[in-house]
Amino acid sequence: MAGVAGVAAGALGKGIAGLASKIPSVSAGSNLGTGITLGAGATIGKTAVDEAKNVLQDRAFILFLAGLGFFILKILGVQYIGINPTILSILGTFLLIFSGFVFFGNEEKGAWVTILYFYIWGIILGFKGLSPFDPSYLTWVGSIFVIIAIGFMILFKKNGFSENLKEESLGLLPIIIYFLDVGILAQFVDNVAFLNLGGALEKIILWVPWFAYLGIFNIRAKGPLPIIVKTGALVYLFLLITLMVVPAVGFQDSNELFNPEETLAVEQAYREEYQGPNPVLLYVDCFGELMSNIGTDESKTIDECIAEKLLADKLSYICINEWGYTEGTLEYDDCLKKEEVRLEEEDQGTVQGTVDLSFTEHTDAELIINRNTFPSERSVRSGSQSSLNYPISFNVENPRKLTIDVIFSCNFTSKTTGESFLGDITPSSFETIEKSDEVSVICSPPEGEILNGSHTITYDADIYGLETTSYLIRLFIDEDDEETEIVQKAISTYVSGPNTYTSSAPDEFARINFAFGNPETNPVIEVASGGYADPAESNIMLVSSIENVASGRITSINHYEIILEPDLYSSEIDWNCLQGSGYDVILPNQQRRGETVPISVCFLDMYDGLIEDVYLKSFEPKTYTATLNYDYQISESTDVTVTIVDLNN
Amino acid sequence: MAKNKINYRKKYFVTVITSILLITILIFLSSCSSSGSESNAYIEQQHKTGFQGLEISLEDNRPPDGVLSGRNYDMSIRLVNKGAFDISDGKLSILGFDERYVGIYHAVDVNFPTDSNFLRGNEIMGFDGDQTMLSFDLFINELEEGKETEHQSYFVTASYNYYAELSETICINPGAGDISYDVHGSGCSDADSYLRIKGQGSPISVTEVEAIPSSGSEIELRITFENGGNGEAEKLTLVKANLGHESLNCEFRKGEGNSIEFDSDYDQEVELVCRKIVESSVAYPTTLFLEFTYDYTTFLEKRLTIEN
Repeated sequence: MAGVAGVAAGALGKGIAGLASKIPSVSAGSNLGTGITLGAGATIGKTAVDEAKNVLQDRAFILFLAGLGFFILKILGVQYIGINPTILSILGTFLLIFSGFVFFGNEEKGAWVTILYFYIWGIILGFKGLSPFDPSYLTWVGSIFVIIAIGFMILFKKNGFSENLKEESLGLLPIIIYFLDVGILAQFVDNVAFLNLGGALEKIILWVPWFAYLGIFNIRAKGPLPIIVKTGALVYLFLLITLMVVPAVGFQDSNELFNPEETLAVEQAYREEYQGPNPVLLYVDCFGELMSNIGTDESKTIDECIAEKLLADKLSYICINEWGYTEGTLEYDDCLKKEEVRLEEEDQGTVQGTVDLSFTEHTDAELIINRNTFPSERSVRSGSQSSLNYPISFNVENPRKLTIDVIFSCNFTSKTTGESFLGDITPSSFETIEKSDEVSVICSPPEGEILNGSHTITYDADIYGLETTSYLIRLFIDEDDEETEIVQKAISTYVSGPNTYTSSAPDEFARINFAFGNPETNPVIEVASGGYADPAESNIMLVSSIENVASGRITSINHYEIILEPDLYSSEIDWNCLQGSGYDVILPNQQRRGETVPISVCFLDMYDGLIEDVYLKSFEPKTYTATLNYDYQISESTDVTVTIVDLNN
Repeated sequence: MAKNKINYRKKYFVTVITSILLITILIFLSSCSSSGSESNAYIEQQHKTGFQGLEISLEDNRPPDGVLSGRNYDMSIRLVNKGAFDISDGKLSILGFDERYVGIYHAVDVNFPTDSNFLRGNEIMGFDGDQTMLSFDLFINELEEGKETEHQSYFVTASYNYYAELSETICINPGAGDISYDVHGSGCSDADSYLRIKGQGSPISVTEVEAIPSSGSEIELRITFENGGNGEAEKLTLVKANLGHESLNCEFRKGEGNSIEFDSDYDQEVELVCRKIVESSVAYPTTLFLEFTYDYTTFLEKRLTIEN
C-alpha cells in the first residue's frame, strides 16, 4: 500500500506540476485564444460560455463530478440513506471504466488488459494469495500476468516493447484509484498485518475522493472553472494533511477475501469507527464559530473549539454505537455525562470509582476571582500599601446542609525572588449550613511587608466537615437458578451498566471507592443453595480506596465506614477494611487529581439471612453505602503586579 | 340499435347483482354449523389449542409509572388464566425493589387464587378464564438530598402448577408403509401416524406425535412437548398415558422415567417415548390420551420512576 500511495501521490504531483503551466496569464489587450481581446464585453461573455461548454464536455471534468458524487454517496450512503454497498461497488466499477476512457481512451489497449486482469484478480478472486499469504498462488498469478503481457506485446509488436510496456502500466493507475476509492485500504490493513500505514496517511487515503482527483488533474479544458476546481482540490488536500487532529482508528480483524461489496461495507465500518468528523470541516466549523464570536465574551481558541467538538463527537459515537442509545433520549444524555467523566478519569490513569450522575446537586465549593474587577495591576505611592486589597469570592453549594467550617488563608510569592509571606485575610473563617452560600474574602499584604513587583497570590480555603457517600450495587443470585430466564434478565437489568463494577458517588471533592465480589469487580455474586459449610467458601473479597476527585487535596480523613450489615461481615480481625479514621490511612502531601490511597483488602462472609433470602427469591439486588468524612483544601492563584511610585524623586 | 344496447346493459347489470347476492347468501349459509353439539365441540377444540397460560398485568395507575417520594401507593396485580386448564398452587412474588427507596411487605410467595383452590381455565362459552387480583401497599421513601429522580426496576413473578391433557386420534400401523383396510373399513393411512398439534391451551403442550412401528409387533410413539409460553417450565410429569383403553409404557428421553426437568439446553423441547405391543396386524385409528402436569414460572418486568 505504500507503493500504492506513492503512485497516487505521483499522479497528484504530475497534476500539480501541470497546474502551474495551465494557469493563463492575462493582461490588458492579450489575446485569449479565440481572437478576442480584453475590452470587448459582449464577446468576453461568449468566450465564457464557450469555455464553460468546453469544460462540461471535458470527460475529465465529468469524471471529477462523478467521482465527487461517488465520494459523497460513500460517506452518507450506507448510514444515512441506506444504500446497499453492492450498488456502490457497481458505481465504482462504472467509474473505473470511465476513468480508463478519460485517461487513455481506446488507443491504449494494453492498459485495458491490465485493468481487466487486476479487476479479475482483485474483485472476482479477492486478491487471493495475499491473505493468507500464499507464495505459490502469487507465483501462479504473476506468471499468468507476465504471459498475458508478453502475449499482448507479441500480438501488437509493431508498437515496440517499451511502448507496449508503457501502455500496460498505464492501466495500473485507474485500477489503483479504484481500489483506493472503494475502500481497499480498510480491507488490506485488516488482512495484511504488516501494512501499518500510520494515522496521517490512513486519513489522507480515507478522506480523499480519488476518482474526483483523477478527473481534476486531467482536465484539459481551459477557463476559470477548472482553475477554481484544481485550486480547491489542492487546498483541501493541504488542509487534510496539515490538520491531523483526529486520532487514528483501530482496525478490526477480518479474514474475508476482498470483494467490493464487503470492502465498501468494511470501509463503512471503518468510517463508523472513525472517532471524529472530517478534520477540514471541523476546522472550518470552528473558524466560523470564532468569527461569529468576535465582539462577544466568548474567548475560546480554535484549538479549544476543535478539542471540544472532538470530545462531543467521540462521546456521541460511544453512546450510540457502543451502548446502543438513541440520540435525544434521557438515557443518551445520561450516557454522555457518564462517559465524559469516565474518559476524564481514564486520562488521569484511574478507573476506580465513578461519578453518580443521578445526584444533580452535590457539595461543591470554589474560589472565584472576578477578572473584571480584580486589581491585578496597581500603582501605589510609597507607604500606601494598606490600599492593596485583593478580593476573592468563596461559593459553596451544600444541598445536604452539612455544617461546613472554612478557614481562609493567603500568601504572596515573589515571582522574581521566590520569597513568600503570609497575607492578612478577612474574614479568616466562615461557617454555613445553608444549601447555597457565598462570602467575599480579601487578602492584603501584612503590615511591614512591602509588595513591589510581580507576585503570585495563592488563596487557600480549608473546608472542614465534608461528607461524601458512595454507593455500590450487587446482585446476589441462587447459583442453581443462574441459567433461568428471570435471573438472566435481572443481571441485564441491574448490573450491566457501565458503573456497576465499582462504587459511584456524587461529584464531590473526595470519595471512597469500594467493590466486593468474586472477583471484586464482578457485580454478580452466586450464593450456594443451603449456604456454605465454611463461610470462606464464598470467596468474596472487598477492596477499597480513597480517591481525591477534585483538584485540591484531602487534608484529613476523619472517619470512613463501609456499611454491609446485615448482609455481610468481615471475617478478619483487621476491621480497618470496613471502618477507620485518619490513623488508618496515610495521606501523601502531594495529591494530584484522581490520586487514590488504598485502604484495605479483606474477605467477607454472608449472614444466613441473606442466604435464605436469595434462596427464596432466586435473586436479590442490593445497594451498599460507604461514607467518607474528611477535610479538604482548595486553592486558587493569580498574579498581581504592584508598582510603587515615589513622588519625592 | 341504441335501444338494444341499453337493454343489453340492463341485463348484464342485473346478472351481476344477482350473482353477487347468490354468492353472499351461500357464504352465510356455509358459515353456519349444523348442530349445537358439533358447534360446542368445535369451540371446545378451539379453546384447547395454543400455548396460553397465566397472564400477569398491573392495573392502570396502580401504581403509576412515575411516583413521588414520601408517598404511598397501591399496587394491584391482575392474574388471568388464559389457558384451557386449571391453575393451582400459585405463588406470586414482587422482587427487585431497593428497600432504601421502596418498601413493600409480604410480597414474596403470596398464594393465589385466594378465594378458591383453582384458577379455572377458559370456559367454552367465550370466557377468558378465571382471574384474580392481588393488592399491595408501596411505601416510597424520600430520596437523598441532591437526587432528583431514581429509577427502580422490579419483577412480578408467578409460579404455579398446571395440568393439561391431550386427546388425539392417531393411526397405528404395525406394518410400516402399508395402507390397508380391514373388512369393516376402519383403516387409516400412514399420514395419520404423524400429528402436528398447535398446543392444548397450555404453555407446555404436545406439538408432535409420531407412531412408528418398532421391532416385531411393537409400536413406538414419539411425543414432543414444547414450551410455547412466555415463561419457564420446571419439572414436567406424565400422569397418565393411554392408547385406546390400554395404558402405555412411557419415559422421557434425557429424563428420569415419567418426569423430566426442563432445561434451557433442551431448547424448550423434550421428547417422550412410549412403547406398546399391538395385536392387530392391520392399521387402525385409536385415541392417544395423555395427562401431564408441570411447574411453570412467568414474570413481568416493570419500572418505577421516583421523583422528588
